[in-house]
Amino acid sequence: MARRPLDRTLDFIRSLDGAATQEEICKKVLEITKVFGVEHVLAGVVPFPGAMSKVQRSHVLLAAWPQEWAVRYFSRGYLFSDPAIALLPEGRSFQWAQVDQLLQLGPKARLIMNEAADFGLKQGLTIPLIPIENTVIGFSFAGRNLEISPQDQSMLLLVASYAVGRSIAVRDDMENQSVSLTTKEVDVIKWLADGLTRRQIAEKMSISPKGVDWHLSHIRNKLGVRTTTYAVATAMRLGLVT
Amino acid sequence: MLHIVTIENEHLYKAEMAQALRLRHSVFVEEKKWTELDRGDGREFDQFDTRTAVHMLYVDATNTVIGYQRMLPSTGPHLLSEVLPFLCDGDRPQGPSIWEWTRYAVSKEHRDRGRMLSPVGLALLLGIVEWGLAREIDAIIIQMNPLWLLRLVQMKFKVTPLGFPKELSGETTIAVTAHFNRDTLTFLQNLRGSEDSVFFRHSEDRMRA
Repeated sequence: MARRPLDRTLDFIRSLDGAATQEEICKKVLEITKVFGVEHVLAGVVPFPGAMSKVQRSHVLLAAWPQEWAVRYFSRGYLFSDPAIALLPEGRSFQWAQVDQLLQLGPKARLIMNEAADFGLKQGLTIPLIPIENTVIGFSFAGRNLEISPQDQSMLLLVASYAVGRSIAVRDDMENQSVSLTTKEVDVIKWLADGLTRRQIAEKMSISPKGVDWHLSHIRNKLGVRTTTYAVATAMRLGLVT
Repeated sequence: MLHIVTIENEHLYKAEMAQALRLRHSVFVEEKKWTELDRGDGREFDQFDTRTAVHMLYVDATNTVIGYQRMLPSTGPHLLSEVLPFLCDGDRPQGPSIWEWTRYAVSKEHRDRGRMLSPVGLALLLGIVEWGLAREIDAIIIQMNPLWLLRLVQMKFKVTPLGFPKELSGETTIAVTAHFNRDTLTFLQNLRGSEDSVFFRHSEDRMRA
C-alpha cells in the first residue's frame, strides 16, 4: 500500500480500457474505493420528474446497490424526493451527512435517508458529473462506515468521471449491437472504408450517387450518428462489417 | 470560422487580434475576476503572448471575434512550467507533440445553452484537433475544472491527470494531458454534424499574402 494515490488512480484509469461490461467497471470501482469503506456505488442520469420507475431504472449506468433497496426506491418514486438528487444541479460534491445543512429536509426526505441507512447505505458521497448531453449524472459512493478525506474526495471524483465515461461507451456499443445492416449497406460501408468516393460506389452498385446517399442516410439513422465517417468508424468497431 | 494567427500573419489580423484581447479581458478579468491580469486598458495579454504563441480566433459573419484560444509549445515557457507547476505531481509532459491549451473564451451570448456544448465551443475544440493532426501534435496540456473530465473522455480524448485537483483562487482546478487522434476528430465532427474544416479556407492564403 506504499503506492501513491495518484499512481493507483492512473492504474485504475488504464485498467478501465479492458472493462467490457458495466459489472466489470463496477468491480474495479469497488476494488479501488474499498479502502475508504465504500461498499456500494450507483451512477445514473437524473430522469425528468415523474418518470415511470422503468424509465428511472433505464437511466442507471452503474449499480452495485442493495437490490431490495433499489426496488423499493424506484417503485415508490423516492428518486423525486431524494435530497441527494435535489442537490446534484448545484454542481458540487457533498457527503450525505452535510445534506442537513445544505437543504431544508421534508419528512419524506428524512424517511428516505433513514430507510437507506437500514439497507447499509448509512454514509455516502454524491458527485455530480456533466456529460456532453444536456443532463446531470449523479455518482454515489456509500457504505456503513465511510472515511473520506478531502484528497480522497478528489480521487473519487476522478474515479467517478472515468468510470462513467467508460460505462457510457459500453452502453452505447451495447445499444448499437442490436443494429443489423443489409448486405447492400455493408457493401457501402466497406467501399467507403476502402476510400471509394460516392460516385465510384454508385458505379459499382449500378445506381445513381443519390441512391448511395439514400443508403448512407439509412445507415446513419440505424447507428444514430450524424456523419458518414463516424458511421463507418462505428460499424467497424461493432464488427458489423469485417 | 476559425482563423489561426501567428507571428507570420499577425500584421493581417490587427483588428481581429485587438478584439480577441478585449474578449480575453471581458472573460478573464471582468467575469472570472482574475484581477492580477488587469492591465487597466481593457485588453488582456501576458508574458506568454510571444512569437511562439498560436492564437485561434472564431470570427463570425460580421467580423466579430466571438471565440478565442491560445496554444503554447510545451518546449518553451508556458503556464504549467512557470505559473502552475504545483498542479503537476510527477514529470512535466514536454515535447514538440505536446502543446498547452489556454485562455479558452467564448463571448457570453454564444455560450452553452443549458449544459450543451455551444457551436462556438465545439468549433474551438475541433480547431485544436484539426490543427494538431496536421502538425504531428497529438496531446494538449489543460488546466481546467474537473467537471470537464467526463466530457473530454466522452469526446475520445485520452485524458491523464497530472495531479489531484486543487483549489485555485476559488476554482477547483486539475492539470491533465489529453491525447487525441482521428477517432477524436471523427467523434467531434459527428457532434457538429459536418465533416467540413472549421478553419477559414483562405487562412493559409492570407498567411502567404
